[in-house]
Amino acid sequence: MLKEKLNAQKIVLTLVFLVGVYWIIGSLQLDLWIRNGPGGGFLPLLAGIMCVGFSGVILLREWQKESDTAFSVRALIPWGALIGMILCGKLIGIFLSLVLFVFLWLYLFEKFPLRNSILTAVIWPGFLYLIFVVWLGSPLPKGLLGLL
Amino acid sequence: METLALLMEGIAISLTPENLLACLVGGLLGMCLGSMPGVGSLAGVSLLLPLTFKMNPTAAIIMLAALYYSTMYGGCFSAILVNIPGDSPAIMTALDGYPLARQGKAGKALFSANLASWVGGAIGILALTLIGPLAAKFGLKFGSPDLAWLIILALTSIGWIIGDSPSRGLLATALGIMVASIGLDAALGLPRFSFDNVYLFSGINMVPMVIGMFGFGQVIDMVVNRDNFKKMKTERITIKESLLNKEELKRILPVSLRQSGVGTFIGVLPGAGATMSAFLSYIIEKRINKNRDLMGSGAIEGVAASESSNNAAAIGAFAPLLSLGIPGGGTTAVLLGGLMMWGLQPGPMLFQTNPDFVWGLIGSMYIGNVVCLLISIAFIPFLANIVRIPTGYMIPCITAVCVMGTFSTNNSMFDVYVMIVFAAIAYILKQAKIPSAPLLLAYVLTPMLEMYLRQSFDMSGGSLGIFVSSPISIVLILLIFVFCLAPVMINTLKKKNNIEGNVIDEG
Repeated sequence: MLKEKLNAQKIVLTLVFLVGVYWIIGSLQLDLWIRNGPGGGFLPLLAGIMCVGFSGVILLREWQKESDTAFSVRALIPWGALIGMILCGKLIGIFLSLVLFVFLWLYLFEKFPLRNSILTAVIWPGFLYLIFVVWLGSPLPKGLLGLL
Repeated sequence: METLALLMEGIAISLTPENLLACLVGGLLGMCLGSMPGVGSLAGVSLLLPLTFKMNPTAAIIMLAALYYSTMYGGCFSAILVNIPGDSPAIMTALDGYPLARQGKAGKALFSANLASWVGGAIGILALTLIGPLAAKFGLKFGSPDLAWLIILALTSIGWIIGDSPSRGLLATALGIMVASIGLDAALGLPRFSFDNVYLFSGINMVPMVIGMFGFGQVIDMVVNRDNFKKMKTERITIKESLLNKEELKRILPVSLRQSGVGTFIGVLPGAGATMSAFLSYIIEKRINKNRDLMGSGAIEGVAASESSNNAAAIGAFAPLLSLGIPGGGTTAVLLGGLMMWGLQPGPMLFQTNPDFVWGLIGSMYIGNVVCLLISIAFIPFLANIVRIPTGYMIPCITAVCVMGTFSTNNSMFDVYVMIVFAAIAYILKQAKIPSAPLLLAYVLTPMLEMYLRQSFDMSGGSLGIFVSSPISIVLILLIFVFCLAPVMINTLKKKNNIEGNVIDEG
């Protein structure tokens, strides 16, 4: 029963409610009114109150309902892959790590043919390299090995 | 006459090689991105934003604007061919477009959609040309308190209008204000909610935020809903079989003209964008069109209604953006952020201080709209093929753009981490059905709101009276009340009607 009630919507709304409370407490430590006008804490306080109020109302309304939303484990896959890619980039550099990421995603996760996976992994990041690194002059981190 | 001269100058500016290329690239990219199922204008503009940092602001806005309105053209391809709208404004297009495709008339549906889009775009641009300068002139009368009310009106109206639940829209608005309040405060320059992190002293950078929420957020959506995207299969289409005959043209032209007017009107309103206008136009046409019984089961009128309307609204949204600095929705909020990053201050003065920029943009729309029509018709077979690109390829490719685009903003890995965090925030908000667009709009408008509030109080020596001292302020306050009370009254009336209906039924 408790599991049924603790669905995605309620968890998110509770989190948002708590963030609102944190914002109210934080803004009360700032100046609310200074030199005849609103201080740094004024708008955050209003936003915090709105956040607590609306999330509280929605939470109360949703509490008795059965939710039609749930967190999907699949959503963690791209995050995991991206974080893995960034960590790998610390060693071999972000560009090579991106090439590796595109290849592994296509070949292992999507199960696309080896040739297509290699071609896409080389051509697409290569194209982006030309735009961002060569044209826009944004040097990507090279990693510990000091590669590309 | 003055407007005509400025427009001619604007068209000349937009015809310089750099600006023309920007318009073509934006139009082509937008068309391709729009035809990819699930990739909308917001994701497209967000992903392309870092590319514009090296361009001059006029070319940059021409490219992003072309990308925005051309996604409206492209969005119909996946809606008609595979029943998955490329962008939310194309949802209503699928209602008649997909049944037409199943009847073997996909080409005709696409041609109708593209032609209607062009009519919508043309009327929207004409309206922008006429309304924009007038609104800017009127906007010069706005003082700081009026501008503060105008921003509050934009924030409340988008909160109420977007989504099924106004309270969720307003919750998103509150979250946007909270995100915007991270960093140094405008009053004293002291850090707030920066968690002692030096990177956060200057606030949350807009580019990583929008790329995370709408670029990488889209990737997550594609992974979670990958089964929906796997079912896509389309038939080959030729240009010859797409052409409309005289009778069919007669059926869609009046619809397109009518609904372009509706779309332009909706587009100009703050908070009500292309999606809402497409819905409204479809509903209107469903009531008044002589072929209304066919609508929903495959009528070109249905396709024309939503497509003309969403294109007109997309262009119409530039009027409040350029003349008052108020974006109508998510994509125009990103464009507003872009304007500020390029060092421009959107608002009434923009027409006076940067006429080349404003009229160059408006002039480019005349060219861009024709270019979009030609591309969308000439490349119907090619764009239909884009719909067939497996989502599996798009997932790592978009991720790569997200990482490189975000990093290139400040050459900082911290921005990439911010992007990842905001993708997570967008995902979890979606689980609670909290829309992201009001959050983005509030994030962009809050610093301006804070500045106008501060200026107003400085001018009045702390008196609240300044906020009700001008007729403009009073009209805006009344409008805010109308926007806030209308949904409540409509709900009450609906409930009352239901109760009365039940009583009659029981009786």
